[in-house]
Amino acid sequence: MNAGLLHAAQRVRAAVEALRRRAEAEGADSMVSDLGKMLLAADALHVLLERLPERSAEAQAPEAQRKLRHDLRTPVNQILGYCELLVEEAEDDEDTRWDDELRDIHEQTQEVLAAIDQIGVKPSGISAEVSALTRPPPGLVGTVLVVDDNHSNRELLERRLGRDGFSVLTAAHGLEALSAVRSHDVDVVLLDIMMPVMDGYETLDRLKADPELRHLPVIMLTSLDESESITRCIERGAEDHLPKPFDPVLLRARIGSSLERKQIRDRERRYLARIVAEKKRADDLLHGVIPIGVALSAERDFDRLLDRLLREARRSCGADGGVLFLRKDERLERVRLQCESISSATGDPRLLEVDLPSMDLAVPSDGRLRPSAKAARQGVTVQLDDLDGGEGLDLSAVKAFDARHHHVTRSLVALPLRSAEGEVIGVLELWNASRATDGAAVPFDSGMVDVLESLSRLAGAALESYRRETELRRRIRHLEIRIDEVNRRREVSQITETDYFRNLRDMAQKLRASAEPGGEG
Amino acid sequence: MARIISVHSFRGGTGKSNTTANIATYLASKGQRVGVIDTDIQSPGIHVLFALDPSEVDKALNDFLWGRCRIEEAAYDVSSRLGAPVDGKVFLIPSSLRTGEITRVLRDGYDVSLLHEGLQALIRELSLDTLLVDTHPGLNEETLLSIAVSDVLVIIMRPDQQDYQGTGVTVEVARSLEVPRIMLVVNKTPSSFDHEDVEQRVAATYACEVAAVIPHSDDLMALASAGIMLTRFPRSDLAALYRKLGDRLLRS
Repeated sequence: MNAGLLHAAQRVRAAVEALRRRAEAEGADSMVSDLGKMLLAADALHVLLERLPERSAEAQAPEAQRKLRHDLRTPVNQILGYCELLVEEAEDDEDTRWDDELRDIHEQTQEVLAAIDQIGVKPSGISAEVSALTRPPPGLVGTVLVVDDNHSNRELLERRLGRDGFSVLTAAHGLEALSAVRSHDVDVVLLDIMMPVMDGYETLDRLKADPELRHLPVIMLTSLDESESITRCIERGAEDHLPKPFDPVLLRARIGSSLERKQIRDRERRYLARIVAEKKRADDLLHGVIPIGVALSAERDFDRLLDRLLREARRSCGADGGVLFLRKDERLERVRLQCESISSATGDPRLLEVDLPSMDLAVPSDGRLRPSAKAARQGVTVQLDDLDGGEGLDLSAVKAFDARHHHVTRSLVALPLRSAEGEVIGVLELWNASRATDGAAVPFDSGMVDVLESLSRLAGAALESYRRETELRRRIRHLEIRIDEVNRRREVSQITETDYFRNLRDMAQKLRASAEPGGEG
Repeated sequence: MARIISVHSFRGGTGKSNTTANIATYLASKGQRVGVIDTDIQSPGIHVLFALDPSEVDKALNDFLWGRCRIEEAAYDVSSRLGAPVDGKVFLIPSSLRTGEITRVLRDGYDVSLLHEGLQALIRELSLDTLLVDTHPGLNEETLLSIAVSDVLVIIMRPDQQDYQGTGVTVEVARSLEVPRIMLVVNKTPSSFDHEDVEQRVAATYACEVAAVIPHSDDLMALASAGIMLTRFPRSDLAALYRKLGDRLLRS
């Protein structure tokens, strides 16, 4: 059998050599290079076949035979791969000059491959039953990572996949592959099994053990076409397998279907992430904001109410500082100011109390309002992610405050506080948010603003209810018992200045005199 | 020596009848013989609190005023209807609940001086310790008479502007009639009010003793209208306030 195989391989080599010479003669330079690689593969095959082991017991062992088939197939697959590429490129160029020779080479190489499959165990008969898919469906392109220790195999696949519109990354073994998927946005991995440093099984295990990577589809490149290897890989989470040599149609089909599944999974993951984020937002509101609102409503001490309102608002977004304004006619009066960084730097929170006098809400001649004045006048949330932005806003007071306290305000948000009737009764201004997980300075994100807006609504209600109750208490305290003295005297005299009343009074006097000890009767 | 206590308010709906019924019950619980006369002939109502059914009322105050009967014939012993046994007695002299009788009062009036005689006769015939007069709101002739002959005038007011003015007039008129003791009861006070503060301000405004500041509660009012608070809910804050008011009256 070895002699037959050697002969078949020599015929392939001769055909390739002949074609290369013709290509050189006809100036088809692009083909000459690929035919050169095919010749190298044919030489490698020849060397392997010449050194085929004797029929020793050792050589008959299934594992040894599997290894032998793998080694022999590698150059054969390369010859087939380049041959198919050349056929396709010639078709693209509508160049029919090489058709016959390329078809002959392909057929002869297939015969060699069939002979290799006859060594030892029979192949499992995996066939390329695929639809007439010639190109991946539109939109189904992505980045494919080819992991193979054989340079020629990598290059072959890279070129083939590149022709099909995929971006291709390559890795020579598992470790390189793991590094590549962590540093690049890979959509599909084509993974060889037998490799140095880290083989395909381990690489597959590591990919599937990583929560970030386990969703990445892996197609095993199985030159070992025993069902056992395939089963082993599928059990470990491989998406699919591709028998070598690659049938271009099968290759595209399997990558295409893996990509499709990955895209569906990615979409599901995005939906899931959105649902999780929405649920978190709802939970934040339910468990974070509402209890604060209830606590604020129950607070009977106004000073504590103001302190707490500002403190809770800052805590909800990790804001370094903030101001609470209450509206009085056309002015915003600052009632609270807190700034963690300045207080801890100076050790004296009272320093802040001299700052930020009340603010006029009238629109200045240049039309530029301060952020809080805009929030109050327009009843909108004003958000500044970067203080160098803020076109159309007057930030002079913020900058002056920063200069006085050696402070840097990076981001800012101002929210209107409304009464139940929708009237703006105050403004909550916060600056320099921080991330809950690590305390890093971040701009106010939409989640924070959502929470703050809910908190502002509850705070507005609490302030309004307090204000009403205070007003009621004030009225009671000054229980205005207003008596119109003129009217009272008039009403009294209308009653008392009558004969009936005078008689009544006389009668009552007599009655009482008679009832007293010593009186009449 | 029997005493006449008139319970008056400038406006209706201040809780006058309720206060009167509870005072009567408290005094009876202290062993007194108490008469309660409903002189609110135009809109009688106190009989409900004493569970006196109109069908049981044969003679009423109206019959006495028109010379149809003696006043003691219009007195009903309601001592067993107070919700709890008492050592003393409570007699109720109701106004007629018949609409014809009410209309006749409105049209023809009556000889007010007869009322005075009736009060004295009641005290005498029923051997009363205290006669409570549940007056008609405002200051008409029979109300003025009740006030004139009273030893104590209890003025029920609500803490609102209309009552402030009217109470001012009533207090002044009562002083002019030399009523020996005038007491104010601030009723239906919102719970958000500081009751002590209310007491001080009202006392200062009218230069008059404030006997009780009673809170407003819709629930309590609903319960109270169905009977006498003092015996129905003796442990309630309201019952405690009525006892305090009764003690003040006993001390005078």
